[in-house]
Amino acid sequence: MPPGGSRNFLRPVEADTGRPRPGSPADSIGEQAKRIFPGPLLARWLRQSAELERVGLAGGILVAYQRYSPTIAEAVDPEAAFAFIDVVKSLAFASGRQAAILCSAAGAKAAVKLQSPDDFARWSAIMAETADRAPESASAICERMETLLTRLSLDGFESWLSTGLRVGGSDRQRRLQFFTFADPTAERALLREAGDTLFADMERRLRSFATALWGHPLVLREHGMTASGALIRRPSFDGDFVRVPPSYPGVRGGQAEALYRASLAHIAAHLRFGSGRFPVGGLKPLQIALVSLVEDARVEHLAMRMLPGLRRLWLPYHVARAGGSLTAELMLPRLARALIDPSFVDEDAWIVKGRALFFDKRADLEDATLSRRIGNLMGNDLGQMRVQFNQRTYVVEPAYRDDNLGLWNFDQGNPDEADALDEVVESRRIERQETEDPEEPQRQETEREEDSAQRVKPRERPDEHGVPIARLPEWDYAAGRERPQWVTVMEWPMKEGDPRWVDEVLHRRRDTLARIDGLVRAARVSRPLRVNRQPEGDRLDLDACITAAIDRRPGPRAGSSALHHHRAAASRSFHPAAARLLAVHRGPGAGFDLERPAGRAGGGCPLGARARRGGRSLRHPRLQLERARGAALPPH
Amino acid sequence: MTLDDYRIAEEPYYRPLGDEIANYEAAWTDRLPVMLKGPTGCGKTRFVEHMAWKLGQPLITVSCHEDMTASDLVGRYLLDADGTVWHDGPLTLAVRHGAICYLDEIVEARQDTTVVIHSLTDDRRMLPLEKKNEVVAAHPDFQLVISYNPGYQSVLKDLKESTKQRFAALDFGFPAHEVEAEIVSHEAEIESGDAARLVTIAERSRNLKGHGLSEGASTRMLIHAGKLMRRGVSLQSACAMSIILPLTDDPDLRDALTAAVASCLP
Repeated sequence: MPPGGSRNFLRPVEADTGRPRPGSPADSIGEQAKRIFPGPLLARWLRQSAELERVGLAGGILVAYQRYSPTIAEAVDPEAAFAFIDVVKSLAFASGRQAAILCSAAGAKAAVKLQSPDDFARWSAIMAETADRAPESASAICERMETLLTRLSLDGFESWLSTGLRVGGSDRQRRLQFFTFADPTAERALLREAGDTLFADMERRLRSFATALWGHPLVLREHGMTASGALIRRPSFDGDFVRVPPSYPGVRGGQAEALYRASLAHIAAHLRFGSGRFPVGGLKPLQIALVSLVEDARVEHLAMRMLPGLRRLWLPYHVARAGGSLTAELMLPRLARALIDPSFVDEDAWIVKGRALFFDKRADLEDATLSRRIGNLMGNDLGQMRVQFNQRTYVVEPAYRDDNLGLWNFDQGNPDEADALDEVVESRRIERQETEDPEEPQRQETEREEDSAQRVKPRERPDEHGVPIARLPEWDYAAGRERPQWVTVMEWPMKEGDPRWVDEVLHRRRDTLARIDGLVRAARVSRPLRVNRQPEGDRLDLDACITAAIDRRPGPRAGSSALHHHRAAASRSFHPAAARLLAVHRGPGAGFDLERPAGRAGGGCPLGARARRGGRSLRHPRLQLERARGAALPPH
Repeated sequence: MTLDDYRIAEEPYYRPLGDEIANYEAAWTDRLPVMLKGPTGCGKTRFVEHMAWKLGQPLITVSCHEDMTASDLVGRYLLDADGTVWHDGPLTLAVRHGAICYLDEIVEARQDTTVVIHSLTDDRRMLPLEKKNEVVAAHPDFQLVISYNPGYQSVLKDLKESTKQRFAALDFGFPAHEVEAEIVSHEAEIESGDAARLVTIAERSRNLKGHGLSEGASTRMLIHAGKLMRRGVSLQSACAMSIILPLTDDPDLRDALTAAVASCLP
C-alpha cells in the first residue's frame, strides 16, 4: 500500500494538519478521536498508532485499532485504550493478523460491557494469556465476545475460557471446536457459568417423568444455538424426537425443572392425543398459529381428563391478562389462557367466541379436525378485525409450549406457502438475536480477504493408518498351537459420526437395550454365592452335618462326607471389566448397528472402545482398536 | 395325618378377570399341573387360595428361594434322642396326604432342585424319596401349582424347557383399570374414586417398566396405600410410603414418580 493510502487515515490527518479530507472514510473516526482524545492525548494516540506500523502491524490491524480504540477510551478511559495496544500486539504475534483485527472490535465490546478500568485491564490480561495458550482459538473467542460478555460476568468469562483450555488440552482441534461451540460441552459450560439450571443435570428424571405419563419414551436432545450464539427457547418435536433448550435463562432451580416438566408433559400430550401432522394447505401464518394454539389446548384437555394434576403444572405459565391493544401477539396468549383456565375472565368478543367454540365441542375433543376448524374461524375473524400479525417476531406463548413445528406437514402446499411457513418457522427459531454492528459482516469480509494468506484451514486428519500399540499371542486353531506375538493391535482414531444415528438406533433398539440393562443388573456382579459341602468355610452346612452324623452311626466308612460340612461364600466370576471391550470378529463390511450403542445400555459399564478384526490377508493379523474419547485401555 | 391346618376356612376375596376359574377347575378335574404366570402382586397367590377354598382342598405353599435344596421340598432325616427320624417336606406332605402344593416363585429355586417335581407332573404321579428308599404315589387329590414372574431376569433365571412343558398355564396380568380399582376399593375399604386414583398412579409407574424400573407398582402395593389412606394418611404420603420408596432407590426415578403422582391428583 502506498504511503498515504486510503486505508490509513493517519496520513490524511497529518497532511491536513489534523483535519481529515472531507468525505474520506476516516472523517468520522478522526472526528471521534479528536473528541475523545483531547489535547496532548491525541498526539499520544497517534504515536501509539504509529507504533503499530513500526512493528509491522499496519493495514487491517491498524485500521481496526484506530476504529475501536476511541470507543474503549470513551467507555473506560484513554489509558485503557493506550494499554490495549499491547493486547493487539500479543494477539497479532500469537494468533495472526485476523485475530488481532477481531481483537479490537472485541475490545470495544468488552469496554462497553465492563466500563471499569480494572475490569478492562483484567479482560485484556485474560485475552493475552488465552492467545498465548490457545492461539488458534483467539479469533473465534473475539468473534463471540458480545454474546459471551452479555451472558457471563468477567469471572464467568475467565472460568469458561479455563474450561475450554482444560477440555481441549494440547489438542488444537478440540480447543477450536470448544471455542467455536462445535463441541456441545462449550454451550453447557457457558450456561453453567451463567448460573443457569441445565437440562443436562435433570435429563434423567425428566425423561423418566415423560415416560411415566403415557408410557411413551421420548428421545430427548438439547437444541443447539442459533448462528449468532443465541439460545432457542422453545422446545420442538418431530415424532418421538424432542429437542429442548439447554436451559431457560433466568429460570433457575426448581422453577426450571417445573418448566421443563410442563414442556415435556405438553409434548407427551401431543404424542398421545395428536393424530398426525396437519397439511398446511392454504392456511396463512396467522391461521397456522391459531390452529396450533387450539390443538395445544385440545391435547391438554384430553391429557387433563386422565391426569387432572397436569393443570397445576401448566396453569402458572398462563399469565396473559385481559385488555390491552388488539395485536395478535397479545390476543393469542389471552385465548390460550381462556382455553385452559376456567377462572380467567376476558370479556373481549373474540376471546368469548373462541372459548364458546371450543367448550361447546367439549364432547368432540378426540377429533383433531376440531382444532383446524376453530383455528380457521378465529383466524378469519382476526383478519377481518385488521389485527396485525408479524410472523417474524411471533413466539408461542406460554413458555412451556413447543414451537408446533411437529404439528405441520411442510412438504405440502405450493412453494409460496412453504416460504411463508418457513418465515414463521425461522421467526420462532430465532427469538433473541444479538444486536450486532450492521457494518460488521461487510467489514469482516474485507478484512478477511486481506488476511486470507494467514488463514489456516482445519484439515481432516488422515486416518487410514492406525498406530501399532501392542502385539498379542493368539491360538492358531488350524495349527493347534499358540503363536506368540502374533496379532498386532492397531489403534485407529475413532471417526466422528452423526449423533442422530446413535439416537435413532438407541430408540429403535430400546427393548433390546432395556433387556441388556436388565441382564446386567440381574447378574448382580460379584454377589457371593453359597457353596455347600465344603471342607472349610465360615458357616456350618447343617444338611451336610446331619448326613455326616447319619453316616457315622454304622461306623466310619470310605467316602464319608464327615469332613465336608462347611458352607463357604464364593464370588461369581462375572466382572464388568469383561464388558469393557467388545471384540467383534467379523469380516470387513459386516454390519452390526448395536455394536456401539450396546455399551450405553446403562448398568454403569459404558463401552470404552471397540475392536475389530482386520487385515485378513496379512500373515500376521491385525486387531483394529478404536478408542472412544477419554476411554482408558484395559491392561494387556 | 390330616392336613386340616392347611385348609382355608373362609372364602378369600378374588375378583375374576376372565374365565380363569373355570379353566382352573377343568385342570383340577384331571389334576393337571398348573403354572400361574404374571408380575408380582397381581393376585396369583390369592387366586390359588381362592381355588383351594372353592375346591375344598388343603393348600401347602412353599416360597422358593435360591438356597432351597431338594431336601427342603421332599424332606430329610433329622436326629432326635431316639435316633434318626425322617421328616416329610411340604411337597411330600401334599403328595402323600392329598393337597394342592403351591411352589411360589419357582424360578428362584435352583434348576437342580426343581427337577424333583418332574415325576409328579407326568402320568407317573409319584415322588421317589431317594434317601428313604421309598416311592410315594400321589394322593388322588394332589395337584401341583407353580407361579413365576417372567421378567427381564428370565434369561438368567428361567425354568428348564423340560419343566415348563409339564404345566398348563394361566396368564395373570394387572386387571383392567376399573376392575383393579374395584379390587383395591374392596380390599383397602376405601372410596372407589380414591381407588381409581391409586390405579392411575400405578399405571404411571408401570409405564416405567423397562425404563428404570424392573416392575411397576403391584395391586398389592395399591391395597397397602389404600389401607394407609383409610388410616388418615394423605394420598401423596401413602403413595410415597407404599409405592415410590419400595419401588426404587434411585433418586431420579423417585423424583419422576413423585411428579407423576402429582399429575394424577385433582
